[in-house]
Amino acid sequence: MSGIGSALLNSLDIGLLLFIIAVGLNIVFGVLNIINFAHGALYMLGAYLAFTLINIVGMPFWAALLLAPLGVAILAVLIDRFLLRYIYSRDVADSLLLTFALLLIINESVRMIWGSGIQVVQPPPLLAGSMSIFGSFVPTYSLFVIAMGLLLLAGLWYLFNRTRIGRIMRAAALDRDMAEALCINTRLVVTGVFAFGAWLAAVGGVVAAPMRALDPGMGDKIIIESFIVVVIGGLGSFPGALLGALILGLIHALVAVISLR
Amino acid sequence: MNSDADGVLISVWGGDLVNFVRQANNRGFFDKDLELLFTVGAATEVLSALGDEMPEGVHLSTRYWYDAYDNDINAAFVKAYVDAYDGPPSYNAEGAYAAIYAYKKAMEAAGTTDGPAVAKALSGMSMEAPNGTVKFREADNQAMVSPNWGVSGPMHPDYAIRTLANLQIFDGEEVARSVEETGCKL
Repeated sequence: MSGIGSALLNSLDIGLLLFIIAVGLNIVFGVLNIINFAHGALYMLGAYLAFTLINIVGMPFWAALLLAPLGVAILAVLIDRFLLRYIYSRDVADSLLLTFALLLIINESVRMIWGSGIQVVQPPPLLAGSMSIFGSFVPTYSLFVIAMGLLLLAGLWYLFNRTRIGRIMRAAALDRDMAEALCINTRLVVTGVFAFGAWLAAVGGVVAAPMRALDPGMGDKIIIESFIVVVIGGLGSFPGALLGALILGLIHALVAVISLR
Repeated sequence: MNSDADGVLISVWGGDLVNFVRQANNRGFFDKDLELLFTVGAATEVLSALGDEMPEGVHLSTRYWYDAYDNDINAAFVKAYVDAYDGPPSYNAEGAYAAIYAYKKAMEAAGTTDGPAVAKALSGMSMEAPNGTVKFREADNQAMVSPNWGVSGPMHPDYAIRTLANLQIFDGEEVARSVEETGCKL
């Protein structure tokens, strides 16, 4: 196997998956001014819902990719309506406390519902196996992860720069009072953005499920990496999240190759 | 994968090991003629997640393999565990089970539940656990547990995990690093 080439490709799939997750964290912070500690737990919920839909209900992977993130987004709406709305006007530290509590509750719920063992989701038949690119074996699923990441990247860029919804979200992030004065229902925007962030986390979870083993600690692992991405790229910055995720992916993949020499 | 190594010692565990084996399968790693040793490969959590994706003929190790011990404590423990959870106990489950009995024995010896007194009773104590006699070495308070090694064989008909053939139990007190080597001073 030609080391560097496949390591670079490997770094792209890690990086773009991290981007999908970290960008959700960033959007929520940008608009809601909340650092969502439970973001990793929502990612895990996405993965476990996909596991249930695929391995237990028997749905195809693609149906799970559609339904699981939707389920997590609905849960996020409830979290926003019943919990988060009481702390929007308070200090950021309060949101850290509340979302950290949510993380613990979701982690333990996953343990109670699905058990603390390790679960595995198989990739869909179309993406199973590996193919040969430039003489090195690349798992087909990695290419799908890269494609998904690029698709979401393009979609998010379009959403924020070219659509009315995107402009409303940016307006609410910049100056919520002014947006309110201009007849924008910021309450709806806030709920929508939180649900959207959760949806992104859960999409990341479903996409990760066939290539990463599921266990109740997977959310904690990813939230730490997402925070690293956000710290590298800057809290609330969209291009920063991309850059941070790619850098972290590159470090993951290259250190393994270099340290072997 | 291009190196001409004769074998690979693999020490990743848990979810990382599950990922490793699945990716290794994907890239044809197990098709090569390598002697493979997995130091924490016989964890039943990992084996039940992997099923037949764990190849046959590789060396797997664990601190405790459920059918390596022919004693009454182990028979009762394995039966109770399988009845409750429909699968064999892992080394984690055995450790948790044995630890409770270690505390019980230490409390009875100390005649109190007072922390420091129980800790003192634990030091140097020997106890019977599912994996035989376990001794807490006095000099550094490490429990001397005997590692089990085996070679992965056909799938178990009930538990859907690889079975272990050619099981060997290495005496923990002999294979553990001595206190002088570890340099531990309490």
